[in-house]
Amino acid sequence: MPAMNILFKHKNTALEKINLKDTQFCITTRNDIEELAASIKETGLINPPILFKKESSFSIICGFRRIKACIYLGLSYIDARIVDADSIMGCISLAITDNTFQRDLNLVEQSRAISLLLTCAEEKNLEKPSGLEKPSGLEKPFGLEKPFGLEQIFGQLGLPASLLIIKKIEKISHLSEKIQNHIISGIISLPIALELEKLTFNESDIFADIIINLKLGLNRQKELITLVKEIALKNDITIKEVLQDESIGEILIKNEDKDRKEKQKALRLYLRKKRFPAIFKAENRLSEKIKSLKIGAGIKLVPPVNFEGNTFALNFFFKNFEELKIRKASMDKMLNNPATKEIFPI
Amino acid sequence: MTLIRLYIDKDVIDYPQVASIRSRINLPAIIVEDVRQVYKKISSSPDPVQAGKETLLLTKNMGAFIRDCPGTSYYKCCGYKILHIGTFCIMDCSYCILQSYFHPPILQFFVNHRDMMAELDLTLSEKKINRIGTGEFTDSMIWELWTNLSNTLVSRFSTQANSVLELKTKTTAVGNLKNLQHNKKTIISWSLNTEKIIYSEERNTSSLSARLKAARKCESWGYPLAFHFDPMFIYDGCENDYKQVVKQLFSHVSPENIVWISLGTFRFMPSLKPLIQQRFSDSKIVYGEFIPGIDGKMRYFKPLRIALYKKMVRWIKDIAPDVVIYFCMEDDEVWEKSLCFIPSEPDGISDMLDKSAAKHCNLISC
Repeated sequence: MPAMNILFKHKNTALEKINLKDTQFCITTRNDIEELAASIKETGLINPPILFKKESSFSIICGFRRIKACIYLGLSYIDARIVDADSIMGCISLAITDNTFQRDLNLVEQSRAISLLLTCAEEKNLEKPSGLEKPSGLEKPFGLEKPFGLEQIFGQLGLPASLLIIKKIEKISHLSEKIQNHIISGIISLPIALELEKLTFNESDIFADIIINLKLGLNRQKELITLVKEIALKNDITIKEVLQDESIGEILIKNEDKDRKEKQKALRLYLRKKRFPAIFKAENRLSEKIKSLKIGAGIKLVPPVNFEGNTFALNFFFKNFEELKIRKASMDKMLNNPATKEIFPI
Repeated sequence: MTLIRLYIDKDVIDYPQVASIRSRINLPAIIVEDVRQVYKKISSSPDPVQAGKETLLLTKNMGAFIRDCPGTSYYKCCGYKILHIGTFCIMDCSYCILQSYFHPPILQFFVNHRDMMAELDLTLSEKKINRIGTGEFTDSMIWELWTNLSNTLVSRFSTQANSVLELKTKTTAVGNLKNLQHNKKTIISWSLNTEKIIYSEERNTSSLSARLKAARKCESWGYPLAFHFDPMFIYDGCENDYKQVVKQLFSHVSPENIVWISLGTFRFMPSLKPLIQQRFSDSKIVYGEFIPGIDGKMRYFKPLRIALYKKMVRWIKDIAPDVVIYFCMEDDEVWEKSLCFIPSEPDGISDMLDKSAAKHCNLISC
């Protein structure tokens, strides 16, 4: 942990003087305060929040939940540490370390912290690093020893130290609150979040609704996003237009009685049909042809995958010699059916 | 695309080719101890493909100069040989496989021509027909700007009668070919596409009519010609567009001087897709109906390929019934349904192309 030589003034501060609306330095995504309030009631405020004076009131650097818990408990004054906020970077580093050195931050909290640091540097018009949209030549954070590459600063503040990861996580801060909540709850993973970040708020929220509604797993989420994006790009329409197609609405809303698995299947089929119309049509046609042969139970005619190869397979399933004889009879019947020949391309 | 950097491998600094190339490139040369330094620099740049097109490395080919064209067992291959003169290209086609084929992609020109000619001498002394091309890992004619390579190769091939050289290009850089003694042993060929595809997917290449005018020039200088409709793309209106290209082709050159026409639809390794999406964000070519082929490459769904091939074959045959048409990397079903025959195994396509080469280029059939 870096050495911190920060001078605080301890001050008994009126809660009404604290501006709760200023959430510039808020890293935490937690809003629950009951448990914390109970603890403060029992043992008092062990770790006083850190504030800075902004005009006639105080803004919070660390301790958003503690302050809310104190208000919840009906307190009027709390013990707080007041810092002299002549360095915005100092405030940011305090806000981040107060969280990172107590617990693991979730992805949204990490993205808030990264975004705070990068925005601060950007405002100072510092030089841009390669691969990051925002600048790297950050002002030295409070109390940190000689920096400093960007990775070092992030690492010293308890954040991921790889530029590649920083760049990815920062993008989460651009997503809507709804999606950020799904990231926190683990429904939406980082790779999917990064895909959604490329879209508008509205589009990514519609995706999120479908993912939640159908409880899609990671692979199905990826497939959904890819299919929809490619349908849009292929047909020169927007993603929203694809997603707001009546047929999708019917699958998702009107058939509320259908179970999720059925809805998932119906949506996938619909999107595949849109994305690969010729393949879908050919698959259906062949499947109808095979069905019309009435091969019977225990035999399965398997066409080449994607119609690309030329090798068909005929699978027999039987438990004993008698069943094998029945399968053979079924196969003979199939071979004598002139329609069978039509199955084969050459 | 303009060259920005010129690197020279220290091992080739005294090669005669190097002095000649340097005199034509107005760039300071950076001498490198180890070519891996250059590869590293290209790989670490924000857009390695772009950087690779702007950087020329003069070095040695440490491997074989003459190689078999890489085919796969399932799809039918024509038995072509590659003369490995250099790598990559200054033009910028969205679909170019070379973007993801080389690690990193970089313009390299191999200057150990003594080794190349020795290998070539060996191959040309074989008592068999070889079809040898330089346009597999690069465009054959981009090097005309800085080298005398075509002069060297065309002259060498003109002195023998077993094999043909194919110079395949999308450029119009044919001026140097005019006065060369070729003895019909060099085929000049063009990759053709629709105006729409050339405009949207083939950055920095010549227009269709410019390519065909260049072909007409070469024909007038007595060179045999070839054309490659590869890769063809399936899009709304593509059939009419390709039909127009066929018409335009035969309004510029005579079918009798065409040694072969190849047809192939767009196919790509899956790793190329994100590269195209990133470098050519307006391109729609990866959103066709592709399936994974037996060789791992993504290909258009077979019935779609066949439908386009059938029409192309008909349009070509209507004008030029005797011209040899072949498919690059397609299977029996495609051949049967599109050209109404399946070449015999293992050398059917090879024999067919050899015969055409022998006829058009006056080769001694062995």
